Amino acid sequence: MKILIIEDDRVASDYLAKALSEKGHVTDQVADGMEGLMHANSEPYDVLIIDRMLPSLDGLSIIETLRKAGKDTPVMIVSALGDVNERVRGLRSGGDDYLVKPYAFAELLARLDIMVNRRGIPGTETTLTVLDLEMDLLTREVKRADQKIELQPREFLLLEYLMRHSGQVVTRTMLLESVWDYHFDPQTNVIDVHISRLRSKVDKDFEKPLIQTIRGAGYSLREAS
Amino acid sequence: MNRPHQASRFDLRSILTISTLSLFSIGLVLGAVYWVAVGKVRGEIDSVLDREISELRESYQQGGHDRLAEDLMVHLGNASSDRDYYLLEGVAKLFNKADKEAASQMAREMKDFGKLVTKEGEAVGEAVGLQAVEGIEQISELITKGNMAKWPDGLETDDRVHTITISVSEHENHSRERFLRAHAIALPTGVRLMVARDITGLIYARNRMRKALAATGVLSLALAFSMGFLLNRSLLSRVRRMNQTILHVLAGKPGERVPQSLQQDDFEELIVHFNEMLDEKDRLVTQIRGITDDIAHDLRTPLARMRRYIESALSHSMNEAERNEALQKMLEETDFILETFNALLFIAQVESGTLRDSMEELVLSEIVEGAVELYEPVAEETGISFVLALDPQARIMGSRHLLAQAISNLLDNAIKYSPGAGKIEVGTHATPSSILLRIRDFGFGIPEAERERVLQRFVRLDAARQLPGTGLGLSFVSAVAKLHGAQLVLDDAHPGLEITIHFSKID
Repeated sequence: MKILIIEDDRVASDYLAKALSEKGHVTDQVADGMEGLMHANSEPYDVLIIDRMLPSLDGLSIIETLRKAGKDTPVMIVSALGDVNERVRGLRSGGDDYLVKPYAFAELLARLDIMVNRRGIPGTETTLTVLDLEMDLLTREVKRADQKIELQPREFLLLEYLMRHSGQVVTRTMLLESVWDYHFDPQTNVIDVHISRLRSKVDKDFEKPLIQTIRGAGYSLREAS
Repeated sequence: MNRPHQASRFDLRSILTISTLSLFSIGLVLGAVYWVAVGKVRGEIDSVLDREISELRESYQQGGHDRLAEDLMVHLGNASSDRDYYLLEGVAKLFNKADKEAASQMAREMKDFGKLVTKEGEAVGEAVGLQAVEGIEQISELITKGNMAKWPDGLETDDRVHTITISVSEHENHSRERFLRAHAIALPTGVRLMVARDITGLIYARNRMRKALAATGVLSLALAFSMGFLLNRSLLSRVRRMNQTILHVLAGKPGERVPQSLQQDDFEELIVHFNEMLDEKDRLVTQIRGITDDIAHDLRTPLARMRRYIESALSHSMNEAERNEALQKMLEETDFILETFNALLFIAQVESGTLRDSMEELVLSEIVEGAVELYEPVAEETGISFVLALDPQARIMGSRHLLAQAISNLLDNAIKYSPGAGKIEVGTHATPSSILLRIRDFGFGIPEAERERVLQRFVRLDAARQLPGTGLGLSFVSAVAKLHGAQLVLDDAHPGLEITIHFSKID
């Protein structure tokens, strides 16, 4: 992917660029708001990573201007301003996702993947299929290798999210946000327990486990490599 | 520091302001009285005079001197002798110009007219050479009746009302001054007509009133000034007391308070509030000092651990795997420190009240259900099940997000501090006066002496020290409760801890 990083903290920007290029992405770095807007407007990027507080033009204004000009490039806002109100402001301005600094690089990477792929998925399908796992969104039935699996409503949502993003890494925070709509870090790692419950239903009686733990990042639904 | 200079004994400007203001209002009242009593009466008299003059002028225009005289007689008939005055003057001149016969003819025709000409009757007689013109008797009668003997000095026939002075003899050698409002015009023939009213009474009343007003003015000036002075002095002495206290507080005696008096007024209320503000300031300073100390102390531990990992990672004795292990631990410590800072910032933000905007009407039980559902698997793992008693009518005004996190914290604690206890009771309940949220575990509980303290930041009981946590969970709950105007109560449940939050009902 071609990614534009608009960030005035040199160290953070360089680190991000290096880490992203290690993952095979091409990055451009800009430290100034106005300059960032020009770049974003004139060159085709797959993703924009925009800091909120920038010299000459703040991040939200960049996004608003881009959206008004009809540019719908996915935007990841990264900011030290972390409370709910700020997050809501960020998303309202046209940002696609919001990460609070400091964040784990794995979190950013996972979110970028989801963000870019989300755009391609129309939300109209009635069944989801990953290998031999099938989910019927209308009857709320889940089958694996034609064996019916009984799930609690929340487990169903959890699995649905994993299936929609199969092959991608999803972090615990992302699960908490999308499945529970909670925007805080629970002190105990409750998500792990939910996942292990889900595993006991989806993976336990089958040869190949589908729910993989990605160390230091989160989970991914795919065939074990 | 810039010290304000000591205030002077009294403040002349504010005294003057007070007295000027009261004087101004007194003046306004007195002026109104004066205008109603004098000005208005005089205005009414003047308009009567105006009306009479214009009526008489009209009479003259319609019927000449004859008609004028006739109408004037009517007026005279109604006149009161010491109040209403009428005068026609200069008729004699007419006669001087005419020949004798014509004049005598005219005089005869104008016998009524002659009644009005007072002393001029004699002049007419002389002019015509007739001593016994008819009407002379009446003329002298008129004169004795005393309705004005001669044209007043200095009265102009300018068709306007003037105040004039005449002398009226009462006894021999004794005359009295009378004040009149007089309106005079000149007819085209040169004859002058005057209508007047005696306003002596009014003038005297006016003079008396002026004296009274002046006296009142002087008196109220003195009164206003002394009132201003007294007010100023009592207020100022209290301001001085307050200033003194402020100076003392600034000079490093934070415990100093403004002495209160027994007076019950706004200023005393100000003093009470001012003292309360100082109390609150002291409390906050103490609190902030405590928090700063706590932060310094509590973050030193993870930082010290991190320093140790870094040191060991730098030493050459480590192999690759051990070094990775150390780096992983550093990352964990860093995350812990960040988590602590985030929690601290979040608590501070909740306490600042800026999140109050996100309040909405919501069903408390639904939020509780959500949090319970999130924690159920964790509880189950430690052999604990939740026993729910949720009231679907438990509606409150609140922030969904903050409440969910606070309840999660409470559930997290309940699970952590009651291992193997079997169950945790969670309930919501609507009472007539409030909405209750109750979470009761069967664990170690919190000793009574510690219940206040555990709500403070970083306070962890000895029993909890071995378990993970930042020591900020209950502080957050306490801050959220405060933001919602709710009361957080910790109680002993024998065994275990019972936490109740009393929310106020939606009206």
